[in-house]
Amino acid sequence: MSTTAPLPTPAAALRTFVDDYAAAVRRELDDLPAETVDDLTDGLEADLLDALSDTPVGFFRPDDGPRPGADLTDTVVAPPAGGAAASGAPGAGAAPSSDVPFTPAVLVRRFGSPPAYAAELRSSAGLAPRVAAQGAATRQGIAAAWAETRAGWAQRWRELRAAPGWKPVFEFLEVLRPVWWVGRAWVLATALLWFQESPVGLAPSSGAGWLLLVAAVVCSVQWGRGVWRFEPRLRWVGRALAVAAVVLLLPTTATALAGSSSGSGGPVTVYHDANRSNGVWVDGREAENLYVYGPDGKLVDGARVYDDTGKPVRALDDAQGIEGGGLVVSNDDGTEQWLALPSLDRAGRQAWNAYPVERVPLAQDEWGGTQYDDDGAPVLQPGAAPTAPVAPFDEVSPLTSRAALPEAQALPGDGTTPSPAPSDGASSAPSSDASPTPKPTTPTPPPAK
Amino acid sequence: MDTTQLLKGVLDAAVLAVVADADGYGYDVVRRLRSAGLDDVADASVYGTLRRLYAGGALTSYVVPSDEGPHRKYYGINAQGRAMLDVQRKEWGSFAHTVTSLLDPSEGAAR
Repeated sequence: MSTTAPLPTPAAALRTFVDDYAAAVRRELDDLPAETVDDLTDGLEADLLDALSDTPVGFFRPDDGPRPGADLTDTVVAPPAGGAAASGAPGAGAAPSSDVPFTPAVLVRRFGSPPAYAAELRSSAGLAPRVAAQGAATRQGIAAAWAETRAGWAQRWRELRAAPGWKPVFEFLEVLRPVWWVGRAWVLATALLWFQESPVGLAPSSGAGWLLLVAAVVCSVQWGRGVWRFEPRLRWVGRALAVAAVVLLLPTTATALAGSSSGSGGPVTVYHDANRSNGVWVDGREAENLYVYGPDGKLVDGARVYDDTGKPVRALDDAQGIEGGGLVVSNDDGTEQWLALPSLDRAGRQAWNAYPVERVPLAQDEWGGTQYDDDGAPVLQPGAAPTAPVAPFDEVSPLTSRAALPEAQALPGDGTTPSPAPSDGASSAPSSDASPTPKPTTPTPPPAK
Repeated sequence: MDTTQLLKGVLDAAVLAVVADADGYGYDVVRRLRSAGLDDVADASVYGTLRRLYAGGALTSYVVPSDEGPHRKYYGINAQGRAMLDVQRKEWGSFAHTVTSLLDPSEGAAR
């Protein structure tokens, strides 16, 4: 085969053009692994030079090509033995002439633009077109690494399955596959129900839950049997669901088992603190404070509340621990703490049943807990003063009258207002021995404790 | 007829045949294809085809340094390439025969 003839001096410039062109082509391939680029473009410069030397000079005639700024005035055509360049150029004169400018544009005319050239190399080499712009190399690198990892695991999996010792195990598991179809449907349905209703059991507790479970089982089994399929562009949904089922298997099972053992939907076990005998529960929540409104509908400040036996009604229990003359209380989610301060009676005794109970915000430590000083006393927020928490209502509707006694139950001869103590109850009248004063209707306060 | 489309289908076989004849470097293969009459063949598609055949194990390759110019990468055929060429030769023969008899029944019958 022919070899490249020694190039005359202007050939150095041609070499530069060719090198630049080849470099531009390689840049267009830089998203491919370096090895592939080498395979594709090794010897490219030699090929380009050879191709140019084979190109008839007439190809570079100025008539139909771009050429402004021609600084190279000599065409460098170094024909190999018997090269057709000089002789075969129609109308170009016998030798390369100075009217043929040689610029990088000539390479583009001859070979096309570097991107087009690179694209043709790619497609003919069976490689994918260039991925758009920046980060392509990184993405391809990650994709390649991921594909390699997957292939590696797949290979290991195949080897494991083929291993003689494991074969019966896999055959056994193969038979159980439909069990997993049902299992994954249960996992996903239970997880969905978990979002809806906090306690979930092994079986749904509602009709809608059962409907969901049955639908999930049908879909899962049909999908498993290959009867129903996802559309190709929705395959990821199937994969995501399969992964979700595996991930949720343990949490849902654990929750459902816990839920069913404590009886989902059944009675809820509530632990009572045996040491606590005070506290006011309203609608399932322990009240932190009480607000007393008078018959005029106005808030009564310092109202003292007693029960039917004359015991002070305490919303706050000192079993929670009195600290520094007050009681540390917190809001329902524990994000704020206060020191509750009782009113004092004339004798200087703490009256915890005087409402509303005032309180002072406490400083918090870095974990949101109560901050204590060296003596173990809670630290107040700087500049904080005792205030009553904001009342739920400024005012309530004033009272105008009492409810009339239902006619059917009107007791003949008894003109008194209804009282909580049954008039005929012999032993159950608590006031007789518990309270020294007759009835709460009297304005005199019961003795403080 | 768009011969570049036709060329795509037979380029593998044509390149294999050229290299089977004698080892060659990229542009050398292009030149031999052109002198054989495939004038429209594009340089880059030949180089890409050579690389693909090489990556597929049908070709061997070696680099020949040059004192003056850049080095050249030569390709040669191996046993797998020859087997591939044989298969493609047969396939082309039968395909060409089919299409020829389809387009020109008299000639097809004569063959």
